[in-house]
Amino acid sequence: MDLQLFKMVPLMVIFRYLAVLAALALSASDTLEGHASPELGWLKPTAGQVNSVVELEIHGSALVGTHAVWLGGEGCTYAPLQPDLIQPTTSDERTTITTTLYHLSTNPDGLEATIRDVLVSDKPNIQDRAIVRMTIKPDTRVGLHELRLVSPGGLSNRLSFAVVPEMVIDKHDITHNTPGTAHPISIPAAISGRFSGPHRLHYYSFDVAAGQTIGFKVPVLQGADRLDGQLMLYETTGSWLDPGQSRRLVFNEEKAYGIHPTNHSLTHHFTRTGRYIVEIGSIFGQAGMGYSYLLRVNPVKPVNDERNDVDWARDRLHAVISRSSQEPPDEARERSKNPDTMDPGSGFNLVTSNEPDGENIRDGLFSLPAILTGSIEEPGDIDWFRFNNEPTTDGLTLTFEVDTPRITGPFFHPCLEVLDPDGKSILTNVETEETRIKGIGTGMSGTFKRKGEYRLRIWGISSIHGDPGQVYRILVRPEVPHVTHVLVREDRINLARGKSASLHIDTQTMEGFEGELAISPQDLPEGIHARFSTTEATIVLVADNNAPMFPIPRVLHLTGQIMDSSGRPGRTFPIGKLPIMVTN
Amino acid sequence: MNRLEKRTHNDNRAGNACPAGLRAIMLGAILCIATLAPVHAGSNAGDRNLSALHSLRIIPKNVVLNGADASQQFVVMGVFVNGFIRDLTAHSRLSLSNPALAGISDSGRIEVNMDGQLVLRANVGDLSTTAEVQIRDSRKHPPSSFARDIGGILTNRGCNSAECHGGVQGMGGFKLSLNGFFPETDYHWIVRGGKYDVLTDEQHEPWSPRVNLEKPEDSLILLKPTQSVPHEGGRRFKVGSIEYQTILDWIREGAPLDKTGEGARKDSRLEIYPKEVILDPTGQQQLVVTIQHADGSREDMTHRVIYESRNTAVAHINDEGVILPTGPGDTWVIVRAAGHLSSVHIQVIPQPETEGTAKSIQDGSSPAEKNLVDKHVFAKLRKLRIEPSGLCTDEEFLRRVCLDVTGTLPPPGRTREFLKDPDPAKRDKLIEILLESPQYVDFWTYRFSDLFRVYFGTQTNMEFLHMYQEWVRHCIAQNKPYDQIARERVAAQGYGGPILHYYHHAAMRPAEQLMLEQIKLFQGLRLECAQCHDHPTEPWSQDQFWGLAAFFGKMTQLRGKPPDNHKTLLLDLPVGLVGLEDRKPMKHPRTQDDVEPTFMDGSHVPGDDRRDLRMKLAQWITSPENPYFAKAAANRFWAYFFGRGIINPIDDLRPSNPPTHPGLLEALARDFRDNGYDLKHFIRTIVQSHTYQLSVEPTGTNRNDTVNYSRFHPRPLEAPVLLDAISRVTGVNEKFQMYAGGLGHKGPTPPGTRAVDTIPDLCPSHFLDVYGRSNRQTLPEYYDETTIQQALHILAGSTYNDKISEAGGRLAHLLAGPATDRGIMEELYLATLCRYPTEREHDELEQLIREGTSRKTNMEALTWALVSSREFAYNH
Repeated sequence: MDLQLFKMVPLMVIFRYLAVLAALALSASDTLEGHASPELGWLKPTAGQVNSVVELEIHGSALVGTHAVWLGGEGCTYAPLQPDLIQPTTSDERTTITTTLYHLSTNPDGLEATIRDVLVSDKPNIQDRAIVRMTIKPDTRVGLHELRLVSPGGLSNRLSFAVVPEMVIDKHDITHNTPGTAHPISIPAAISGRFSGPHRLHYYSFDVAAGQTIGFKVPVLQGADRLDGQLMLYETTGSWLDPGQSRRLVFNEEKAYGIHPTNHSLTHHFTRTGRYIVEIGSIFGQAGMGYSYLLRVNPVKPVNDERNDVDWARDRLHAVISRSSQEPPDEARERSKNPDTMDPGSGFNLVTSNEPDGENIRDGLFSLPAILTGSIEEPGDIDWFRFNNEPTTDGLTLTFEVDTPRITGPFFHPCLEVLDPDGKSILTNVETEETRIKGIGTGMSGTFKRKGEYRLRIWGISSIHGDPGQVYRILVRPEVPHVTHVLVREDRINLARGKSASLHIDTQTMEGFEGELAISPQDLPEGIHARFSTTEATIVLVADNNAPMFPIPRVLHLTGQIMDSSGRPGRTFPIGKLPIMVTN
Repeated sequence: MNRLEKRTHNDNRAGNACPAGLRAIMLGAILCIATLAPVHAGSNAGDRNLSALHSLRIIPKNVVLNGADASQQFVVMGVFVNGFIRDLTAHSRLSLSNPALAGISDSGRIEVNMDGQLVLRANVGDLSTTAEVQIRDSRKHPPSSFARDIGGILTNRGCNSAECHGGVQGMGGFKLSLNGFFPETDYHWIVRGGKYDVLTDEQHEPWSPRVNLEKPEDSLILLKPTQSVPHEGGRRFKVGSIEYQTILDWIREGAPLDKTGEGARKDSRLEIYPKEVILDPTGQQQLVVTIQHADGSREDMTHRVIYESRNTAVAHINDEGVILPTGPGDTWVIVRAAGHLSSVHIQVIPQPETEGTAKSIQDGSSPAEKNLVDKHVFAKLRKLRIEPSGLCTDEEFLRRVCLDVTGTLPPPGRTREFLKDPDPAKRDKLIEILLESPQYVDFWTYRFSDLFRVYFGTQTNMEFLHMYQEWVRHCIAQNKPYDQIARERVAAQGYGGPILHYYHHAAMRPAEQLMLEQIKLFQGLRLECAQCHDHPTEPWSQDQFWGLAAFFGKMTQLRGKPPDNHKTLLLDLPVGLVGLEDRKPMKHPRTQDDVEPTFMDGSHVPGDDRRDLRMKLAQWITSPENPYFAKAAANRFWAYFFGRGIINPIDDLRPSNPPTHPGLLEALARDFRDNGYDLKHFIRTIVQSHTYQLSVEPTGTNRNDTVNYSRFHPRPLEAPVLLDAISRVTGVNEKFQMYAGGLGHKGPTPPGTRAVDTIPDLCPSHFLDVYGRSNRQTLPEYYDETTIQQALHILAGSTYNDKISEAGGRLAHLLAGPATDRGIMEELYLATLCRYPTEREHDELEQLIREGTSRKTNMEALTWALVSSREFAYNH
């Protein structure tokens, strides 16, 4: 603590400090009753540099009584601060000060956060603000971190706070909205900005040397308004007609729809030394209080971060089997009992399509299990594979799982079609209905009863598009009935005493799974009971009237257990965890 | 001629709506080019002096006449010492080496008597020329052919014309295809009979054949045209006439279809000599019409076709194929034969030609030929004896080419630099600079966005719009070959790119609408009429229409699953997939039959190759063999630079709307195709040509020429270009409001947004609406019309007035600087008109400024006058 600074705080602030001290005599929950859950809108800056201390301004509503920053569950610590460690800040006249017992929050990633002040507005058009001091240690993990606030009203929604290795330039209040007024930056840089008005574009200029490859990234930040950042790159060479005119360097950047923002990145290899400008905008000109962005500009080296095909297949198999009623695949005894049981550790038959290809090629023969790889490089390209079937009495039931590691949907949808030994189409992942295509599955399963050679045809659903990036890989394996997705819709539970809250769970199964998935909440806090609803897959959490309250959320764990079609209990696996808090 | 002597007053774009006061006086003081004055009919002349005759030609030179009743029309052409060529048939003495074999009329028509070989000699004065004639099978009648013989009679007698049974609804329940283009259909209605109803094949009455095989003379097909029974169309031929006998013989033979004859008709070609006719008021021209059959044989049709003058005030043509001028001007003669339609371009030049005119073109005093454009344009001008204007000044060229290639006025500094540059190659160098400029990408993105209809409509998916616009921009920026662009648009599939135009109000547009747009855009053909019936005047049938529409009949949408349900894919139904074999057949609206996807030439996509029908169509559209694609593109892009197409309207290619310069269009199309449909190459070829660089100043012979490119014709700036020009000259950006649909937010567009960058229905602009920007809901059409709203906008609109006086603008900067009045004047002239003021303008304006109330007011008035002038609002 900087005592010198403290001594310089004006008299009015001292009074507020005294009020804080008075508040410490009371428990947070007892003094602030009937509060709404805090809701966060945005924060600035959106990022902080490793090994620095950042003061964050978090905007939201119902922040009265906020006393802690939630940095996550497991491994995090939340310790009440001693009164003399509290350092209020100044405020403006439109806000009132609320006080409570602040906590020091730490997480194992290396972040420390404390509330420094909470400014609560009584004006409908002015949001509450919490001032947070964030300490970012030298070894803090670089990336996005979860950040919420805790108040007597419960736990807030989630915001993203980025930790970056670069210096962060805070441009929330200063705009550079024409190429001519572009703000100069040095690479590497991270810029935290915000679009307060619609259809604004912000410009940042930088110098690069010929041969440099620069990456530009705009991650999606969690908040009430999630900005979908759009990037563009210009060369500042001017033109004969206008020395101030910039020349656009990139086109056809993917534009994502505003309600589902995606991370955007742009990598450009500069062939000429000079000054360039990066433009950032919000899709469709969206703007407002919460449209904050983080733009990172770094030199990059081309890296292939694609997962190895075999690793991918192994992980897929593991994921499938671990959520099935099948026994663990690494048990040798199971292998000996059932030759169809897959062993993730065993070798796959890796077959790659030859290009250019055609129907008459004689390669592409695979045996099971197989990983088939290839690409739809040219418009109208069709790849072929084949396998010989020596069916058992019931036939061989296979599943084909498709993955597109580079260009993905909606731009690339591989279509699969299996032709029987007579050349007749018998199985496809293209679902049709009347005179339309209903869907294109990422997989398909079928039973092959005839002996002979079957052929697998693969093409892109848009036959006019071809690109070396239209890469596919297909895992061909025996069918395994299993649970695929288990999604808990809620991301927090603020449960008032004597009341209930519901957890909604969506489950998806595949490949003929006919069993049940039993879900159970673990580590329920004292005074909270789990009840089972008759409405879909819903668990109702009920708080006793005298359920103990706690200033910091607890973490509720949800686990699932497979029950096969005969009712035999199978494997248990984690489904999720979410913070829970009891409020008045 | 000095510019000062040609000054026109109050010559602003909105007519004579000039306000009183200083601004009006200023405007009057600004010189405007005289050639913006109204256009009147022109004149040229011919020479009838046979003493200047150099040689004779006879057409055809060799001919083989087959069969009884064969005949041949000859035409004798005189070549004069000045290079002009005229029909002298009427002035010739014609004789045959063996008159027993054939007879010859004074008009030059031979009719056969018996087999043998003879020589036709034509004499004019001391000159003579000969043609060789072989006569074969003079006693034999060729076998009947429905298409040739019956179709020929029906065409020649006007029975299958648009006004009679060839009309949309037929006549009296009897329908024939126009000009006998579809003989099998005609055969059906004649032999099978039945009552035709335009939108259905359903018969309410019993079939009643129009031929009577038992009693051929009682056939309706003979009784009606001879008016042996009442016939609304009157008598078309007499009982016992050649026509009557031909039809009677055909019925007696069992009324065969003769598919061999049908096939031969399809492969035959109608040839007309001469292809282009230039006449003086006292001349005439005999046409020779010949059909060349697939087997190489030729048949004279001169007296067996229908002629129609498109403008009888210019020329009349009689049944024998003789064109007689009736007044000066341009027109076409349409020639119709069974299954064929062709045309001849006629120009009647009223004034006697001057030898000096042609000489000036040939001896180098006229601009030299620089490339293929000049070769064709100047060759025609020589034929027409029109002297082209000289090359434009550097000032005119700079402004013209900058606006046409980039839609942007050059800054004053660049104008000074260019005008000072002594390099003789500076024009070509400037063209390269402009083609590589970012403004080129912006401007042609705007043009293609108009062309490809990039607009929001009521789409719910802004993302589509964004991606479509990006696709257009990317096409231009990387100079994507135009045929590839066409294929990508026609066959658009998947997500993003050009799929937006397949939707309207977020729903997929009907197949027939989609087909119509693509065919109009990339083939230059208007097939709308054929949707409900065979085209009334052109050889487009309803079957062709639906055959083409069927290429779009397999389209479907695939909606993403939540939360991606907005990510709709546009697809063609794959063929051969499980359960999708033959779904969604397109139905012919009249016959209710399934329609096979059929190209315009009648060929089909093989049944086992229908995976992507639209791509098949796109490949056919852009194939080198397609007769329309390259021409339609060349014609469209040509019009951007000359204000009219070589075929006009630009998207109305059809046999009865022929090009003014067929050779030029052919050459441009070939050059475009041979150079990989490189748009920049095409633009370069145009703007490098001396034809493009001609002055607007008329010569003695081209003042009234509007179609032969003998001088440059000023064109009004397109609305967005004009608005951007005003913003650039005043130094004040336009402030657009953006109404983003769906999730977008309303608000001002980013600073510096140009009008050419805006999406019409998302960026409302009163100025752009008043000056007529395309709304992009249909293919663009431009009108050169001034309106009262435009005049009012100049007088009181904020675009003109507020920008001029706005602080921070160009004028404010100039006034705050050290520049003198003369310097400011010069700067404003260079910024607006790309030229220095003339001495007289200087003197008059300086005096006005001195006399005015304040320097600022006076200079604002000058700026207003400059941007209100017609010289500013036009590209000239």
